[in-house]
Amino acid sequence: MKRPLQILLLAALFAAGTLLLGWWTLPIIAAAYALLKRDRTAPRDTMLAATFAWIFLLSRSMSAPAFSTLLERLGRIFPLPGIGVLLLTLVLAMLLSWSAARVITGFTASTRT
Amino acid sequence: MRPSPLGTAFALVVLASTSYVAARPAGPLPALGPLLDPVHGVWSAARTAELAADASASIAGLSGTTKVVYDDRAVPHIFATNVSDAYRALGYVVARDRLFQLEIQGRAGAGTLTELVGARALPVDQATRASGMPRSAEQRLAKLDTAGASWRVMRAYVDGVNAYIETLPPSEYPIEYKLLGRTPTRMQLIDILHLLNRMGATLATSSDELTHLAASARVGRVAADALFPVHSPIVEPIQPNSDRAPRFDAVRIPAPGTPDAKAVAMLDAMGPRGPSSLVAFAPERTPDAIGSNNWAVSPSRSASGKALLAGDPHLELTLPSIWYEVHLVVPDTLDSYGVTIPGAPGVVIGFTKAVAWTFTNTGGDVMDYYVEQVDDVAAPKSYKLDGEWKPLELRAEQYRDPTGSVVGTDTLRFTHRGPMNRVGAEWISVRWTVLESMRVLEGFEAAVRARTSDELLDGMATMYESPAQNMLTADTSGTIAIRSTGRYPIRPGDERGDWLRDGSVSASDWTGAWAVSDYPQAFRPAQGFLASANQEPFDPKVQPRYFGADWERPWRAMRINTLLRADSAVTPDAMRRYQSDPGSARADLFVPALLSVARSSTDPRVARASTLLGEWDRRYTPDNRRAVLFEEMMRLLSLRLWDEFQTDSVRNPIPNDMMTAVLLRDSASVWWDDRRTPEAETRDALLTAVVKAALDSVIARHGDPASDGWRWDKVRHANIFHLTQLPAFSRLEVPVQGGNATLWPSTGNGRHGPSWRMVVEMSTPRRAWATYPGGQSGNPLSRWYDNRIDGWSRGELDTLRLPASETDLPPTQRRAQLVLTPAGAAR
Repeated sequence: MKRPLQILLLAALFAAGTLLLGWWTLPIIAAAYALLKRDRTAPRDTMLAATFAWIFLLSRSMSAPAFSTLLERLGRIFPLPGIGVLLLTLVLAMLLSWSAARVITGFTASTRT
Repeated sequence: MRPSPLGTAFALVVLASTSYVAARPAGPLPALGPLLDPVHGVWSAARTAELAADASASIAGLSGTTKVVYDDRAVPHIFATNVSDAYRALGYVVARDRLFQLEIQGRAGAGTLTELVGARALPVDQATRASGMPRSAEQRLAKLDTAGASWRVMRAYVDGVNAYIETLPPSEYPIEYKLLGRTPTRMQLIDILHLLNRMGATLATSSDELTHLAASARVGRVAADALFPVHSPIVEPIQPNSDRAPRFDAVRIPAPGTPDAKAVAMLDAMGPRGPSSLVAFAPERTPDAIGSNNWAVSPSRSASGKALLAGDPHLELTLPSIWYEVHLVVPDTLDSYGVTIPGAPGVVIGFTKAVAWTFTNTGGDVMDYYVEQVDDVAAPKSYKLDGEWKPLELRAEQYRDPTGSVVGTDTLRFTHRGPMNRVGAEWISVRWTVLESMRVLEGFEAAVRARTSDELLDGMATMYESPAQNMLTADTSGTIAIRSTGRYPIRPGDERGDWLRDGSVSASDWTGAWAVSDYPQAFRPAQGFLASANQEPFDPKVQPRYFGADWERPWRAMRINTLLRADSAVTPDAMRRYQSDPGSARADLFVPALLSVARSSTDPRVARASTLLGEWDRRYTPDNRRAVLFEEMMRLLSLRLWDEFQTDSVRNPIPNDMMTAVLLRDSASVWWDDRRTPEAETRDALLTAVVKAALDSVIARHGDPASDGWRWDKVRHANIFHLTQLPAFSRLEVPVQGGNATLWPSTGNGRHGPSWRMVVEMSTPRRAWATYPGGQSGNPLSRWYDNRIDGWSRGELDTLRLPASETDLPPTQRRAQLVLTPAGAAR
């Protein structure tokens, strides 16, 4: 129970950071979490939590009637299907959070030895 | 188990590269982080696609509560307690729907697009600044009376726009800003003048001098004069001349002469691209893109016994549209309905309870070019005038990108006439009324207060200077009237403005301006109707003075006059139908001529082409399968007839098909000979060859004559591009009902067309119908973004809602409301 709760809280933190300050809070929060956790599971946890957070934040837009129009038009602007742009958004969240946490995990492990 | 160092290094690379693409723009792509941010980025646009049904805001400077009711066509009806509040609210609601458009249009006129989109806009900005428009805006702003009506209206409007920008959270920035990675800029007073200048560049540039120069260099001055005449040989003027039909004046076109040596030398000095660089700041337009129409019918010829007015200005079609529909109401003071241009405070075309008005472009010559003598061709500091060296005004220009870095510099030069630019080895200065207009906004302000057509036109005549417009009005008393209003210069000597003038003498300068009483005009005409379609406004037998040159072809004017002469009980619905009438005076003239020649041929291919052309009803309906053949014949006819002008030169004038029509009457003219062939063609031989070649060409391009490839809607469309040119936000290949020189002219690239169609019946209460190709919202995700295009394409008009008060709209016609209160006041 402890780990799912941690991921949920972390997701709430990611959501709050994005909501209040913007996308760039993802790697910072992920790095801070990894620093505190000092655990090999931190990168995976942050990736999951960041993805959940951004899906939650995106759900507000996804429920809007104009969302399908937005997907279609973005798909024509980028060389991707509309859904691809949505996936790219989530991949961005995953990569930013995972990589930041993984770098910190690697460095903290090497400092411990 | 310890994490592997290799994995850590890999993660570091991923972090660095992901952070880089998230934080830094790459090529045309903005930084992905802010763009894809689920709260502040592009995704939030889906949540803000539609305006809130019930909204409120506080605005500093507002003196009373102002209510805005949006009807079921998304048109805001603004109910204010005074005029300033009405314009403040107008600025607010325009910004709410069209913020990105407001900024990009202002920047286009200011020459600061690089600050929004980067260095790729540098050539456009350089051309704009070299035109002298931004300098002129600065000078005129400095001269504006800060206690005057124009200033108050401008101030209120700009404050309204900025009040909206200031309260706008980043998550609600229009999607274009997110895609560009930019933020909205506060509007300045001068932006209004930049926008008005931009309209001048669209409507009032002319280069008749350059056309004549190039034509003289090909066929000599005498022939050039005849082919690009000062007066139209087919006379159907705006100011009625009491003729009951168009008049064909007898004109003989002299044979091609020896190239004019002076013109050749001047063109050589200017270089191959030189002349066109002088008007590089004006929006590009194909010759067949001109198409504004307006007409009015007096009570004696309308079915209802009320005056009727139809407005149909043609402009570049864009999304969002150049127009924004609005209704301004201040009890007992103002009740004005119509369209405004985002960035211009006021109703430009529309109606009040008393008067309706609309415009077409006059096309009078208000722009002259002077060849200057300078002290140093490479970097002049002085120019010669009457034997003395006069200092040039030098103006250093800097162009900045969105980060503030300088991406270009220029030194601009000005004589007492206006901007002076280098064209090859020559320096050419320009005098242009657009750069000298002071009171345009006051004119519109006076229009909405006018109680009669006479008051409106007289008010405009004293204040409105450019771009010159054929202002057509109708009022509730039954008056219809038209006047071509603007400032028209008087030139010395023969008054001609279609030849380059010598800049080294002050005797070349303008000596004054036309008196209003001399303008083309008509009040309460006996014929019971008035119409304009950009044709020469005067009958040259009535007024032979130089007013302009190379006038728009008369085909549209002939067609609308034919329709109006034939209808003595005109209804509003007939007015609507005329706006998309598929008939063509041009086809009515040329088809019989082509058939008459082709039918005497024994060649089976010619006979087949003749049969096919004979099947055509001369209507450009979307499902028509023969218009394409006629258009190909006309294209080939122009190519072969005017072979003398077929060169690789960039500036290559081609006489228009009005001159071809004139030449049809001279079957033995040497112009009919296509000098690229060994035979000496006569008129009939050339027409026969064209008929035959056109059939082969159309079959090769579009297949069998019975196939769908010949359908007109497969050939011509409207292409309505978004202001950023992004196809994803554009509506392309929209079917249209019209062709070359019909009342709904359909141009080759489809980028121009009817920008606002309006029919008003001056009854009590007023009745009005209108539409434009687009929608009220500038948000490409909104259902109000392009919702009117399909109806527009079918030639339909919407019935306008005209509530007298905020409670006057029934709930079924009420979509949303906005309450604006003075900042600090409780609701």
